[in-house]
Amino acid sequence: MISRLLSIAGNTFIESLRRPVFLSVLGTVCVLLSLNPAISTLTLGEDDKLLVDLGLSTILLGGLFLSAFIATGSISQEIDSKTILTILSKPVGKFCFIAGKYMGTCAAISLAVWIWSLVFLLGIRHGAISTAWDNTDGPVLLFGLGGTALAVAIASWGNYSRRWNFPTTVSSLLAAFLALAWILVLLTGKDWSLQGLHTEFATGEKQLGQVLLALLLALQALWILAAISIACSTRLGQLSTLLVTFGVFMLGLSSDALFGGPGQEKPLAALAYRLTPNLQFHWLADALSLGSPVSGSYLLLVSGYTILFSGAILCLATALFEGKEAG
Amino acid sequence: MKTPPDTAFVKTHGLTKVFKDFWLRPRVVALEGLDLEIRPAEVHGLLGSNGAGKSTTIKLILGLLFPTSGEVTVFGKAPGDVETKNRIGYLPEESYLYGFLDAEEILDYYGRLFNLPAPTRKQRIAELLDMVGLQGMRRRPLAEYSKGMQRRIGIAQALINNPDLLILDEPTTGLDPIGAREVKDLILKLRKEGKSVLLSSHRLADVEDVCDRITVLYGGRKQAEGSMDELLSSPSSTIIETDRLDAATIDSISKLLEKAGGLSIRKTESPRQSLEDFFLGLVEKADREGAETSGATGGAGVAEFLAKKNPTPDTEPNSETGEDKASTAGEDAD
Ligand SMILES: Nc1ncnc2c1ncn2[C@@H]1O[C@H](COP(=O)(O)OP(=O)(O)O)[C@@H](O)[C@H]1O
Ligand SMILES: [Mg+2]
Repeated sequence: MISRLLSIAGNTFIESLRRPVFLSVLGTVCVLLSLNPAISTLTLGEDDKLLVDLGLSTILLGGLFLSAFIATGSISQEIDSKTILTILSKPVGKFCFIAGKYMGTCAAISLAVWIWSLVFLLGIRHGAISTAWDNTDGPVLLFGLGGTALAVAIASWGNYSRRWNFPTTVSSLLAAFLALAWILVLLTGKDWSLQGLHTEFATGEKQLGQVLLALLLALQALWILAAISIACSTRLGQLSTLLVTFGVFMLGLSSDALFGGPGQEKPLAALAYRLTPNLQFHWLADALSLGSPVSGSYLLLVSGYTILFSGAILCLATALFEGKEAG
Repeated sequence: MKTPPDTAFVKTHGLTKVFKDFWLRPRVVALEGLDLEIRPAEVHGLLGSNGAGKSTTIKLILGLLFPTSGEVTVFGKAPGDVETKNRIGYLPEESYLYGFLDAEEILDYYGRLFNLPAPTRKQRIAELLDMVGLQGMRRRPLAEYSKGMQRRIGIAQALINNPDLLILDEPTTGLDPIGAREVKDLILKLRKEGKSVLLSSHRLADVEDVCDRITVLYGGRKQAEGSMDELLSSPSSTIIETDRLDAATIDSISKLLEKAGGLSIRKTESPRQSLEDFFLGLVEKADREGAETSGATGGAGVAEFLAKKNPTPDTEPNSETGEDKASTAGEDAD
C-alpha cells in the first residue's frame, strides 16, 4: 500500500512539474516577488510592512492558481484521457489513488511555495528600495541572482546535451541554490561583514520568525484547497472544479464576516460556518502588520486543523469516487 | 490462491448493463443477460460489430463499470477485488498513456503499482521493449509516439506483471501488419504457458487465427458461442491442396470422382500469396539489409519472462515490500 501510494504520488509530482502551467506560474510569481522591494516603495513610510503584506498575498494567490490547475488537472485529466482505466485495473485501491494524487499535488505546490518563499525572504532582507540605489544589498543581489542564473544555466545545458527535462531540473536546482543563497545572505551583513545565523532573526522590526510562520500557514491553506480540488474533480469537470475551488477560497477568507463566526446562533449560518474551511486561521498578514505575534502553539493548533480538515475531505473524495464508474 | 484447473477464470451469469441518463432513465442497453466463461489456458474471442457491447463486458469483468444486474466472478472473487488484479493484465481499447513520461518510465511506474522489486522491473522492461520493438525509442516521451507505437507500449504495460489472464480490447487497431502478427504470436505463446486470453475484436481474421472459443455479441446479446471447430467447420465439403496440376490431370481426377459416387469438382484455382505474407517478406528483407527507421522495428520475439511458469502469484503480501521501499527512494528525482 505504502509503496503504491508513493509511486502514484511520485508520478503525479513529476507530471505536475512537467506541465507548462507549472513553470509559467512559478516564473511569473518569482519575478513579481523579486520586484516586490521596488514596488513597495510607492507608499510613504511603512515600506517594509507593505513588502511583507504584498509578498504573502502574492504567494497565496500564486499558490491558489497553481493548486487549482494542478489539482483539478491531476484527476480529471486521467479520467478524460482514460489512463485511469490502466491504473484502476492494477491492484490499486481507490483511496490509495486519491491519497497518492493528493500527496503528489501537495508536493508540487510545496516545492513552488518553497522557491517563492526564498525569493520573498531575500526580498525582505534587501528591504524596500527607498531612493535610487543608495541602499542596495550586495550579498542578496550576488547570491540570489547568482544562484538563479546558475540553476537556469545548468538546467539549459542538461536539457540541451543530456535531454534532462527542463522544468523538473530547473525547479529542483532553484529550490537548492536559493536555499543556499539565503543561508549565505544570513551569514553576511549588507556591508559584507560576517555575522551569526541568528542575527537577522534578532532584529525585532522585521519579525523574520513570524514571517516564516506565516509562510508555513499559507502553505497549509493551499493544502486544504488542493484537497477540495481533488474531491471535486472526482465528480466534476475541470472548469467546475476551478470555480468551486475559487469559491471555497473566497468563502474561507471571509467566513467570519459572512456567517458570524463560531458563536453564531442561527442554525443555518452556524452550519455553513462549520462546513467551510476557515482560512483566516492561516492568514497572518494582518496580525503581522498589527505587530501582534503568534505563538508556536497556535501553529500546532492550525496544523491540526489542516490535517483533520484535509483528511475529512479526502475521505469524502474516496466515498464519491468509490461509487463512480471509471468506464 | 491458485485456481484449481477445472474452475473457470472468469464466470458471468445474466450480466446486464443499462446506461442511464442524468435523470436515471435508461438510455442504452449495452449488454443483456450475458453468460460467459473463460477457462484456464483458453483464448476466448469476443466478436461483435461496433457498439455490440464488447468493451462494456470487459469493463464489467474488471470492475470498472458496475453491473445493472447479473453476476461476475473473476478468479472466484468479486471483480473489484484488489488482490486478484495482480493476476490480470489489461489493454484498454484507447490507450492514451502519460505523454510526459518516456517508455521506460511508464513501464516502471506500472511495475511499481504491482510492487515488483526493482531488478525484476528492470529486466522485464528491457525484455518487453525488445518484444514490442521499441527498444530504440525508450527515452522519448510518449507524446511523440505514433498511435501504433503507443499501442505497443499499451501491450507491454499489460504484460508487466506476467498475468494469468490477459484482457485485450481490440489490440490490433492502429497496429501495422507486423505488429498485428506479433500480437497473435504472443497470444498463442501465452496459451501454451497455460494462461488465458480474452480477446475482443471486430476483425474476423484476428479472431479466426488465434481463438479456441468465441462468443459473438450483437446489440448487447449473445448470438452464438462455442469452439471455432463447432461453429465453423462445414462437414459437407473437402478441400485438397497439391502442387500445380495441368488440365489433363484435373480432367482425370474429375472422372475418378464421377466414378466414385457421382461427385464433381466445384472449383479449381491457383492460390495467390496473401498480401500479409508479401508485406512481411518485404519488411523482413529491409530489416536484414539494415534500413533505418524512426518507427517501430520488428519485435524480437516474445519476452522471456512470460515463458517462465510462475509457481506463486507475483506479489505475495508483505514478502517484497521491504526491498521495494528501498528501491523507491530517490526514484522521484528525474
Ligand atoms: N459511458 C457510456 N454511457 C452511455 N452509453 C455507453 C457508454 N459506454 C458505452 N455505451 C453504449 O453501450 C453500447 C456498447 O458499447 P461498447 O461496449 O463500447 O461497444 P463495443 O462492442 O464497440 O466495444 C454502445 O451503444 C455505446 O453507445
Ligand atoms: Mg469497444
